Amino acid sequence: MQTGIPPHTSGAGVAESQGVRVRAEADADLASAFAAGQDVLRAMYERWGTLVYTLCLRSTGNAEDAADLTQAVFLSAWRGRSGYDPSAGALSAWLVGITRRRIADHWERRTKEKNVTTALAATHEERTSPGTDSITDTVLLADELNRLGEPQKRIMELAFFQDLTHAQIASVLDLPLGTVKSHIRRSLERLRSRLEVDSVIV
Amino acid sequence: MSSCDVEELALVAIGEPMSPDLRDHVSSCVRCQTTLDELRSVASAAAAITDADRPASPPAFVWENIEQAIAADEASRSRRGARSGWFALAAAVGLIVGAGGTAIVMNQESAQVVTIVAETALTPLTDAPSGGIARVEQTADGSVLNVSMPGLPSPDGYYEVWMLAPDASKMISVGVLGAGAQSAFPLPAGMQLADYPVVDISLEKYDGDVTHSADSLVRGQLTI
Repeated sequence: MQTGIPPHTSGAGVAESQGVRVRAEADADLASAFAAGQDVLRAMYERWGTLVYTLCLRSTGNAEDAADLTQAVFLSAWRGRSGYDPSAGALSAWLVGITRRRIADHWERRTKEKNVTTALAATHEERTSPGTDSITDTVLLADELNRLGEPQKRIMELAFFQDLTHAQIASVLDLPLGTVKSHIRRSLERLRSRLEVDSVIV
Repeated sequence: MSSCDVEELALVAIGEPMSPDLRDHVSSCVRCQTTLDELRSVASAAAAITDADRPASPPAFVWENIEQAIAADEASRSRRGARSGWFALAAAVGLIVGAGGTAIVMNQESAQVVTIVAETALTPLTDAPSGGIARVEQTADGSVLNVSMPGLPSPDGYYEVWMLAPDASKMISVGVLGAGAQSAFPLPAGMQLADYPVVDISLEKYDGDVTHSADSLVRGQLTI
């Protein structure tokens, strides 16, 4: 599903930052094309379809609802493309904003349906809406973590999920200490910028 | 350690102990304090990632439906029979389109303007086999509720289409759903859509009772 992201397996910091830059440029190109009215929805879907679907799936817990919402998000984006202003923010942030509003609408509708249902004396499953802010952040981070090359991804997984120190990671992966330290710093900074770009308050 | 060392801060952010030198420096360096706070919050959010947060690809039909919906948009704009184009979309997609906006579909040959006032997905309740879509259109002849409900089984009784207040305190029966997948129901001229935004299809028995059976199959609230 990813486009325009050359794989960087060398682990060299220069190559990694180039990869990030290439992707940022590709994203910006996509945003200008979209703002100019070009038909780039397919490219946008390939780039962010998985992210949008994962956000919807994570927020609703239901694959069918997530599929419906994902369709609605991309159709909204297409039909509302004249409303996108590249100077106001990244295209990905705009899509994430639409996704969050769609998810909020979904829960609002569910609540109303429940009210009607109660009034009609039928019985239906009760569900409550979870907060979307922290879900958005963890899904964005999981997405970015998945885009890290190796060995960065493996290093960060060992740090986050196994609580290993950089010395332990260096030993497990047989890498120089300095390399591991440098990857941890760069990867954390990359995750931080992803949140800065996409985790918009709507 | 007396200078800013982001690599060391990153290690602290992932939970490694802070050396006394670094602690001294950070306590007097606002920039390092800010960086450490930010990296820590990223690291703790990342550590909370569960399998459910991992990227999941949407099923292939999602894109196919988007494509069909856009093709139907184009078709309804450019040729006669906007309504059939729309129903092809509705049957294929079954989703909500409006976000408070009012779309206008121009039927070029007759120059009749059909304004889409509101629409909603009809979401299955209980064990209904599939959902559908409902759409209110304003034509020169008045308001019409179009319902597209493909795939309903032959009922033991009949299907009735209702429009309800959100709290179901009042409702209007707009008609009986025909045998086909699509039906159009004229709405009373004085009816305030905002008072009856919920579209509901119920299964009714031949029991002589004209009230709602409380056995709803699908339902959706119009985005007006």
